[in-house]
Amino acid sequence: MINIQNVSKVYRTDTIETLALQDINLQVAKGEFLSIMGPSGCGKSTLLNIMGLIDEPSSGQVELDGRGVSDYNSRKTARFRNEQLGFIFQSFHLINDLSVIDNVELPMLYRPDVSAKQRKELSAEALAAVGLANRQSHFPSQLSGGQRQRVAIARAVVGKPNIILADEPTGNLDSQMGDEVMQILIDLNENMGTTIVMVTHDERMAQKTHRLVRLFDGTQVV
Amino acid sequence: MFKNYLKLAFKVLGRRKFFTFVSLFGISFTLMVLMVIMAFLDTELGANAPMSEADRMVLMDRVEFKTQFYDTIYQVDSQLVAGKMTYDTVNFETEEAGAMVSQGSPGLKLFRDHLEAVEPYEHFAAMFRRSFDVFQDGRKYSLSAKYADADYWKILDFNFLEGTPFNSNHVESATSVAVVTDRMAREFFGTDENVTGRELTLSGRTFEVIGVVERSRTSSVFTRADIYLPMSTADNQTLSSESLQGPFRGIFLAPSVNDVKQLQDNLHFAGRNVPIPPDMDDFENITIKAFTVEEKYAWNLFFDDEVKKSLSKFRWILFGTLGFFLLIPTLNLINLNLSRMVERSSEISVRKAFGADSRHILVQFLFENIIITLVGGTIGFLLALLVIYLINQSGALPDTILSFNWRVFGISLIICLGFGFLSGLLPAYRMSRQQVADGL
Repeated sequence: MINIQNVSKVYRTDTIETLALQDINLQVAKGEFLSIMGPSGCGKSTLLNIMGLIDEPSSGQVELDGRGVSDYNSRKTARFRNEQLGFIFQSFHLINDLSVIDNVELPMLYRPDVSAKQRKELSAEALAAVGLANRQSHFPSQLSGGQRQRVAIARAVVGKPNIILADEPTGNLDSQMGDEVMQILIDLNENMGTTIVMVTHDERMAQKTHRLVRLFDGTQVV
Repeated sequence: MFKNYLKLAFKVLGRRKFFTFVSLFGISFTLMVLMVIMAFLDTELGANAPMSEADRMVLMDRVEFKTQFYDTIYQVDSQLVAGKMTYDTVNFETEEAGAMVSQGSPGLKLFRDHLEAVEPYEHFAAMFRRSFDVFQDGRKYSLSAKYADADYWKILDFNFLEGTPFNSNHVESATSVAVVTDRMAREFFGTDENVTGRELTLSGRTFEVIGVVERSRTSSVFTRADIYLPMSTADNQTLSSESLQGPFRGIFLAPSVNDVKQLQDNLHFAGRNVPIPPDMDDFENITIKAFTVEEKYAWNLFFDDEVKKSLSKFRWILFGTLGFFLLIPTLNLINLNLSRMVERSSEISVRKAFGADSRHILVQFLFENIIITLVGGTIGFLLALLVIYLINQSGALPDTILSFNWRVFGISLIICLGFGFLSGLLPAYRMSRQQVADGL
């Protein structure tokens, strides 16, 4: 499903060169739930961004769903992200000026073949799946942290992507809400067969996934 | 998708109220000024009654008699030969030293004998203006009267509130009939209704009112008057003058817009070939000026020898002013928009992460900016209506009645959209290039 081969990432400024990732080789199978752990600054989010086509590797190859994506132009990359990938961020990144349902339908806005009515129906379904059917017209500022992350999950899954990339999805939540969010991800993986790659600092959460990869100073140690 | 953008545009407007106030104030004030300027230009130069056919009109109210003086300048070589100075004239040249010019309005004879035969035109009317002081009910009224041919009413489509214009029979038989404006009717008769049939006396001659027209909105001297009288009812001395100069104006209606240039050229040519009358034989040549409506307006401002030069200055100043009024607030808005959009870099990255490409972001921000501009434009439109009302009420432009018609509205709407597009394009383009990872 995800095939990372010899991927390195170097950030360059005029005076400094920072090696964020070095020769990473990683394969994630279809339906797998993988967690990535490591200390701050070890390159976890960079690796996730490269898998999500949000960032480009300095060298190496990335294959997603059997397709080499290195030579995709920006429009094709955007379409691939829209159809195949879903993102969950630590700080939710909801658009505060939009209602919950408008936030959830955001990925569907960029699918020209989906009508406005279908968008609303799919978004309502996704919200119901995360237990927020009665919060459609609320705004993010009216929700708790756990509810916001559930909205973010609904947004990530509304387009039925094959892969979900979650960057510390429980990082800003207390343990109870963190557990609730984690359970939603596990259900998604088990019931829908969605491949999930999750970056986390939380050993307890990582233990609930199928496989754990550890990074240290940009290199893969486990 | 656009519904989503629309919701967001209004949310963004409501989020930062001071920013929104500054932004909307700039937009609405700018557009208000532009709309008032557009309304003014449309009233003065646009195709509105009574000058609905302004594009086909050629106006003639200047004739110039001129004699050019030249100086002869000799270049003389001199040299000393055998103790004596010798002179040798080797060259001479002439240059313009001055001119004797007499310019003013044409006499009726110039039109009747020389210019009415020029083609192509559909209608021609000569006219001249005279002031009257009229005493009625112990009050003095100063009236501006226009004596005109019957075809005057075929060229200028005044809005008749009641009655009819005078016709060729009235003119041929010098019937004492008059057409008055609604304003004059109100001031003189106390009403602008049922005025036809009433009488007024000008310089001892009594005229019957046969029509009431809406007062001309433009300041053009070709249309402006309080009362319109048949040409033949003017005093005989003015009408029978043999002079090529006089108090007259002429207005030609070309068959089509494409014929206007030809008509102007033919009039100029005919003017150059008018024989100099014996009483003006100090002059060598005659030049007449046949203007389009816009040329006449421009020439009245700058009085250049060449009409095209006045027109060019007028257009430069006009478009320069409009451009300046648009440029400064546009640059300001670009700056404001950039700071507003930078605040939303996280949203842009989220949208891109979920499938938006640069084009979507560009369209979204342009759309939002155009919506904001249209809101500002609506406020500007209402302010413009208020300002136009106040200008008309105050009499600041005594001979012009500004109005806001659909054409001005359409042009203003285009300016609004252009303003929104221009002020949003650069910021939207910059933000659309943002890398996804930068905002997360």
